[in-house]
Amino acid sequence: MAARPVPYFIRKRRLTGFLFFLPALIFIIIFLLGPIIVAIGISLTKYSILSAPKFVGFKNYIRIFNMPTFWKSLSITGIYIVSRLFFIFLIAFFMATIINKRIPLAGFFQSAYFMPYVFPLAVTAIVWKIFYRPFGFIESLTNLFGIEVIGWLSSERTALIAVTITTVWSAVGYYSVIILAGLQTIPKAALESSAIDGANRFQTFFYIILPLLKPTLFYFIVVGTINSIRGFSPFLVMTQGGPGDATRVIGYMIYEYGFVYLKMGIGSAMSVILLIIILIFTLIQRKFFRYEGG
Amino acid sequence: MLKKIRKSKKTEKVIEGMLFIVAAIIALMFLFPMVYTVISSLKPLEDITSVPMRWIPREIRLRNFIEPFIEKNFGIYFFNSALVTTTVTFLSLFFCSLAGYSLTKFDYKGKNFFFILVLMTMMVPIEITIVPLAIIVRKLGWMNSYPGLIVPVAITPFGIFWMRQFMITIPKDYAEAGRIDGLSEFGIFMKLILPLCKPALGALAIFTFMGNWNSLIWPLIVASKDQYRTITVGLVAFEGEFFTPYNHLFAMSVVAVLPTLVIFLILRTKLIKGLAMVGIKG
Repeated sequence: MAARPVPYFIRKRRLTGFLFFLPALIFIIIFLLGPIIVAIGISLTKYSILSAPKFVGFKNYIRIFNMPTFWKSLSITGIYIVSRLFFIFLIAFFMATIINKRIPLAGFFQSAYFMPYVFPLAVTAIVWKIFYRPFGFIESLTNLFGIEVIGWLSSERTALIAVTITTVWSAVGYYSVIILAGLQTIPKAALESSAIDGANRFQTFFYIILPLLKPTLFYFIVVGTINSIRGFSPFLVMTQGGPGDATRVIGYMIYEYGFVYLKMGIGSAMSVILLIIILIFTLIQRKFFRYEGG
Repeated sequence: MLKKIRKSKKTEKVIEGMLFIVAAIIALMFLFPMVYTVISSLKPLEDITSVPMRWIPREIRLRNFIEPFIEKNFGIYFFNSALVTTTVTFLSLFFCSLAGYSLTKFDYKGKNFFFILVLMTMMVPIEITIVPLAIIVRKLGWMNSYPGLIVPVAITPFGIFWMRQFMITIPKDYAEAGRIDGLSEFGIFMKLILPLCKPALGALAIFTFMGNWNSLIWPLIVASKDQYRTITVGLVAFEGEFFTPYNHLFAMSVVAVLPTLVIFLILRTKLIKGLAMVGIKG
């Protein structure tokens, strides 16, 4: 039997469906896929907006890998992510436990913890920058406890800590909700039986809660890492990478090469490297979720 | 055995009490910077800069909220933020649901590929594509313009994904009924499908509004001229000036936070759940 021609109304409907997606397709090509391709292209050139791009092959990548500041920036980014996620987890886990226990005013507490997350990160950064001013809000508080740091943001030893405190404050409420969702999937029976078996709190935490929380923890680490790389605006506002290189995280460094030094080639090469790093993280997350069947 | 359980019930109560106290202390630590910001926004400048700091202001200075609008361009910044954010939100809702509709209720070649494209690009954060994006936008001649602030962020793959996930639950019969009634395909979308999507549209509207009201990096790159600065960009520029009256800065920070704060306070519980699922920033 020969294939019958597709009826007109079905062809028309197919075309309509395609046309409905067309605006989104054009947008994705120009503003999402395009930039990635352009980034790869430009990363192979020497380019500032003042002169035309000049093809240089992999020179930019070789230069970046030979840059001590690049490796330092990667390690600072790593330290920032690890310490930030560590403290976020500690506080967020505690918050989630409190909310999960349904203590009085739990709803109010959750709102209070969550509230900083809805503020613009840039505004949070500006306000905290003034908090950290010599003799300002933070120092007035720490002095009460006998801790004497002068100029949190102007010392290489404390600047990264100061920014980390700010971004932990800003987002920990958000992560506590994610962890709370994980805690609520733990069956009550598991906790009760461990109590009957005479497990103490630490044992319950390490042998019951933590293993059952694994999928949530994994999600937390992947999302937290990507978000920490993305959210570099506090560094832009509070420290501009300084003092010295103490807070020059990779996201800010890319911004700097692209828009302060106007070295688009190197900036693009760096964003390609970072994109690959994020891609790896995303793939790990994908693979993991497939295993969990979620 | 029973005794042991009873005993553990009692210790449970004690622990709950302790948890409450620690919870309250943490809540205080989280609220205190906000309270301090609001108080500072009402202080005369000397009460902020004096050593030691004066915690309780000597007078309430409401002019802090007016002077920046007169001496600086904060009126323009707010207007720009409002204009850009609402335009982006409307464009995003329209095009994302149109694309989501296309992905769920039509059959055509390439549909599955389009969906994979959406999933792939969903992972690409603008913070990483900013350098090439700025080059593209400059080539389009959109630097320092509203199109430059609006168009490159007007559609999000996440929005398409979000609307698709919701629309997939709508039975095909709705569209068929519309066709029998003689509605055009676009008419079916506008009159029958969109009204069914109200919950998904509402949530997406809030996510989009908050995300864009709060964003800094992209508007900072597009708007180097004062005339096109949004509130976040304006605040950062104001902070970077040689002399910035801190009380003005605090006051404008309070105002900048208001729109998202009000939304949050109204929708609290729902919003916490929704935002935790989606996430708007770092």
